[in-house]
This record gives sequence, structure tokens and C-alpha cells, in this order.
Amino acid sequence: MTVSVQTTLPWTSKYAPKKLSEVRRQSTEKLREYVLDFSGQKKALLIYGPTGNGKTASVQALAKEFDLELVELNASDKRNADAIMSIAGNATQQGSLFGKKRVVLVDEVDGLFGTTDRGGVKAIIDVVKKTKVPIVMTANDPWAQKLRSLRNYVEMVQFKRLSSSDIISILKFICESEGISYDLPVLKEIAEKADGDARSAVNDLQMISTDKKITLADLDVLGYRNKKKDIFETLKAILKADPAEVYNLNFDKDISEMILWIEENVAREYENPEEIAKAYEFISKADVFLGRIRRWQYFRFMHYASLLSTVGVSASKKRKYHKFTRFQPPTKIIRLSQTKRLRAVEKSIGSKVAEHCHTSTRVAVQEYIPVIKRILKKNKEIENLTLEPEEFEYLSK
Amino acid sequence: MEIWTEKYRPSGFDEMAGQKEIVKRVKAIIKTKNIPHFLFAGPAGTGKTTLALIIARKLFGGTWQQNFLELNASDERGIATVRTKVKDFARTKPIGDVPFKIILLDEADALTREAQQALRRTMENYTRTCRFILDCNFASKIIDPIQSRCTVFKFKLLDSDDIKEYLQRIAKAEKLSVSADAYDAIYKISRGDCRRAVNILQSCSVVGKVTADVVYKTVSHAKPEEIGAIMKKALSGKFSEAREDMINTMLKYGLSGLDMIKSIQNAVFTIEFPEETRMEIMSLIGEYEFRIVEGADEFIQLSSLIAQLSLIGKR
Repeated sequence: MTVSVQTTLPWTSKYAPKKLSEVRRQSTEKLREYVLDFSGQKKALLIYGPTGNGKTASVQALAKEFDLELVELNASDKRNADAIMSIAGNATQQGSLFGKKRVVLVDEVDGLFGTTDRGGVKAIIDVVKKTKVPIVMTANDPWAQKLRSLRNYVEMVQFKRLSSSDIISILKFICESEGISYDLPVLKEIAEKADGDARSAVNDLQMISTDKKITLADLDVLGYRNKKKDIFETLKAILKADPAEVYNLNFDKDISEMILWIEENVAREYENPEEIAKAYEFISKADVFLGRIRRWQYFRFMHYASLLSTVGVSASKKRKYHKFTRFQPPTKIIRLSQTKRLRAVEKSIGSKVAEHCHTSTRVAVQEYIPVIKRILKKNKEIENLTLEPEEFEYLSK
Repeated sequence: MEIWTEKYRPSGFDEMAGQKEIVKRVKAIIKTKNIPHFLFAGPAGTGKTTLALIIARKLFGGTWQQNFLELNASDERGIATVRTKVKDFARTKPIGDVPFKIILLDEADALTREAQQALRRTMENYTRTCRFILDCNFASKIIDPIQSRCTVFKFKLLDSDDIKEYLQRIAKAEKLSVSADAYDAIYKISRGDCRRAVNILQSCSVVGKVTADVVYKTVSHAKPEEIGAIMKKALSGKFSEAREDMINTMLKYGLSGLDMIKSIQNAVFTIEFPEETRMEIMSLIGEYEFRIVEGADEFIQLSSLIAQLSLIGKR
């Protein structure tokens, strides 16, 4: 068999959209406006949605269509603070060598974590604050804890999950271009397995298309793709579906964060007080197990915490509600992000007071800061305590 | 303006409020110019740190600050930092005629059992040149091998006379007028925690004359009426509204989960119930206090308590 360069090129690249209009399902208007009409605003554009629905592809298509210079930072790069500053920092400050307009793409920004990426989010924020060119980021889960501070510096655009028929039409187009004969049920099967991820569907198709004809039997070689569901899908699965289906749920959140999402939304879905009380009983017990894990470092308790908060909550409903529910991020996470800066100031005051008053920062914050606030209503300063202007302002409010 | 807990922190044994027996013994030991390791156990604001500071002052006199290291276990990042700081401090010789230095480790019960084992070895290594004073709320949270190396003193909450006497001393020095019922109110709120009592007095002093009314207004306690309103909402089945109000109340007053539980307890007696229901609710509150202590997230536990109350109300 001869193998030409053309055939070894992954189809995901070969058939990637070349123009914005080729991007399926998504409305790309905002992206086009943001990049082409960029006028120095100090905000980035964050495109979010499940894997393989065209986030990165549409930015690449836009660059191709309008002949822009695309500078990419993707998951394979080292993305610690230094790397980000040196790549994106330069790219966002200088004009292009070739006189082209430039756009910077930070791919999978929610993949920034771990020790090698330490300071990465902060570095990105610094870059955004100073940028002279448009910056587009992509993410699966814009609600991830670590993106909390970044959310203030981006405009968010949602890209929807692709439907089976979207994917089938992509697959059909490729088969026809490659001269592959197919049965529709095979494409359907691939599309369903892909669960909205066009990239994995196209990869599957290429894998089984070695001899220009594909059959259902070819699909056996492809294992089931274990998709991690995004948070809203997961909530839907827990609150709306049969509890028996919840056992194999595969979500990409830590259970201690997941439980906050479930707690926030259970009463938005369930209407009967008995269902709500029962669901909360499970949530409460799951939380007790999380506390015990922390205290005893005994991780087998995780099993109970996870089952009770998912299957337990799912099993607490007496009937399914056929309605649209607008799921919300946890109040606690939102409140904490709103008060983050204030808490930092509070902590720095706390540690000064703690030293002066021979106590811990916690006690200083809880017991002394309220007193100091009151004293400052009548007095200009506190003896033996040197405060920064920002701290003083916080206490005088 | 100075912070009064510091301005009026006792600098001699005789100024200490309460803990008479402990003070007497410590005073006697100090005369020998030698001390054992101490473990001071007891609630907040009962004089543990103050007594440790007095010991250092009396033993070392003018050089006490060079010979005394204060660490707070809940602020230090792990036992490794504690050990490094202890090592650095213990390496040099004490200044003056006392042959050892003193290390005060506050909130020692914040250390895990493993960290306490490491601490025990550190104590042994430096026992020739250092004495440890460990402060904690509960002696039972300190491992036996450490307890057995220390002289353990259990500090008690101050009674109303102790608190009143101490506050009167401050009021006199500050030329502050305080009504008799204000002292009672402060004692009630402080529950025998002297630091809390002094802080309340100073907060109130900003207004001028301190009365019971001023005290209650100043202390940002979520009032039983507010909590009562939340409970009534829950009992009438408005779970989501009650939950929202609860979160807002907690944030507004900066209350912890246990503060909320205490207020809810009080509120139960302001609402009309058959006694049987009241006791059922009490037992529920008790269960949730337990779960807050055992669990990881107090918002979750309180929301669940409200969900259970909504169910009781429905019957």
C-alpha cells in the first residue's frame, strides 16, 4: 500500500473549516466582531462549550479567511507564568512582522493548573490588561474555580454542543470527498458515540476507513469513548434522569465542588418539599463524609460522599419534571469571588493585628477587625499598628 | 487610640483576672528560676497567652523579648515551618542568667496528630535550651506523649465578678461611664471570654456612655427576630427564600455556622409550637450542630436543616 502525504494528514485538520461560514451550529458573529473590529478594549473573548464543537476551529478559520497572523498557546506548550509572558506578552505588544493583523489564541485556558502552570492565570490577566491585539481564549468549563479571577476580564460566548445530525452531515461530507461508501446507520452510530464531539467522530471515521468502505462491524474496534460531561449536563443527568443511570456518570469536577452545584440547584428542579428534604438529607450526609475524609485522611469515604450526593439526590424525586430549569452556579462560589479582594485585604490586616495582639490571624479577623472599624469612626489611627492606605480604607468603610 | 486588650493586658501575676489557683502555683515555680514545659488548656479569652507572657517577663526581665518566641500553630504553614523556626531560635544561647529560652506555641490543638508527634521529638531535642508553653482549647486533642511531658493547667471561663472587676478597672482608667446593666449584658454576651468582653467595651465606648442598650446594639448579633423570620419562612414551606435569607444574614453579620445554630436555638422558643414539635425541632437542630462539627461545609448543612424544617411545617 502506498501512503501519500495527503492521506496521512489527519482529517480533523484536512477538513477543518476554512471560513467562518463553514463552522456548524455556532453563531460566530461575536467572534468576528471582536477580532475584526478590535479597538484596544482591555477584555479578552472567552469561547466556552464542550470539546470538539468548533471553538478552536472557528478562530483558526477566521484567521485563514481574513489573512490574520495567529499566535497560538495551546495545551502542549509549557504554560507557566514566564512562558505566557514571553509568548503572549510579546505578541500582544508588538505589531506583526508581515504587516498582518494579529490575533492571539489561548487554547484550553481551563487546562491551566498544576505546579508547572503556577501563576498562569495571573499572568494571563496581566497580558489581557495591557494587550494591543485581540485575545481569544477557549475553555470547556468557564466556571472552574481557578478561572474565577479571570472571568472579570473576559467577555463570554457560548458554543453549543453539536447535535448528532450536525456531526452526521460533517461525516457525510468527508466520506463523499474521500470517495468512501457508507451506510447511514454507521455514521449515525459514530455520531452518537461522539456525543457532540466532532473531532472524535472524524478521528473515528478516519480510523475505520482504511479500505474505502465502512460497515457496522468496523465500529467494534472502537471502544466506547468515555466522555466527561460538562457541569450542566451532569446536573441534568442527576436531577432529571433515572437514578439507575447516575451510577456511571463521569464528570470532571471534584466531588466537593460538585456537591455545591447539586445543593444550589436541587430546589430549582424538585418542587415537592418531601423530595427537597430527602435530597438534602443525602447531601448533608455526603458532606459529613467529606468532613471525615479531611479529618481522618481516610479516602475510602469518598465512595459514600460521591454516591449519596449523586445517586441519592437523583433517587429522592418522586417523579420527573418535564420543564426547563435554569441551573445556576453555586451562590457560595459567586459570593467568594465577589469578595476575594476584600478578603485578601482583611487577611493582611489580620496578620498585623495578630502579631500585635498575640493571637492568630483568624481571631484577629473575627474579633478585632470589628472593634478597630468602630474605633476608626472616632479616631484617626490605631497606635502600634501601621496600616497601608488600602487597609485603612477597608477599615474606615 | 490603642487596642485595649493590649493596653490593659496584665503584666504581673496579681493583675490576672480569675485562674487564682493556677496563678498561685506558677508564681511559686517561677521563684525557683526554672520551669517545666506547660500545657495551658481552656476556652478563648481566659488568660492562657497572658500568663505565658507574664512568665517570660518575670523570668527574663528586660531581655524577655530576645528569649521568647511566639508561634501560632494555625498560622504557621505546617509542622516543618514550626520546626525550622524552633531550630533557628533554639540554636543561640539565651541572653541573661536563665539557662533556657521559652517558646509559646498557641493553638497547639490545630496541629494534626502526626504533626504533634513531630513536635514531641522537637521538644525532646531542645529540652536543654528551651521550655515550651503550649496553648490549646482542649487538652484531649493533644496526644498523650506531649501531655505527659508537660505540667497541664486547665483554665476556666471567668465568672461575672472577675469580668466586671476587670472592665471596671479599664473604665476607670479611660474615664468611661458604664451602667451596671451594661456589665451584665457584656458578661452575658462574652460568656466568660475576657478578650471578647474588653473588645465589646471598647466598641461601645465610641458612642459615649455605655448602657445595656448600647451593648446590644453594638454587638452584631443576628437578632432572634431575624432568625425567627427565616424559620417561619422555612416552616411555611418557602424553602428557597428561607435559604437565600439565611445566606444573606450569615454574610451580613459575618456569622459562622455555629453562631447560626445558637441563634436558631434561641429563636425556637420565640415561635408558637406544641411542645412535642418544639422538641422534635430541637433534636433536629442538635443533629445538625453535630453535622456542622463533623462535616465540611456549613452552608450545606444549614440549607439542609432548613429543608428539614420546611418538611415539618408542611405537616
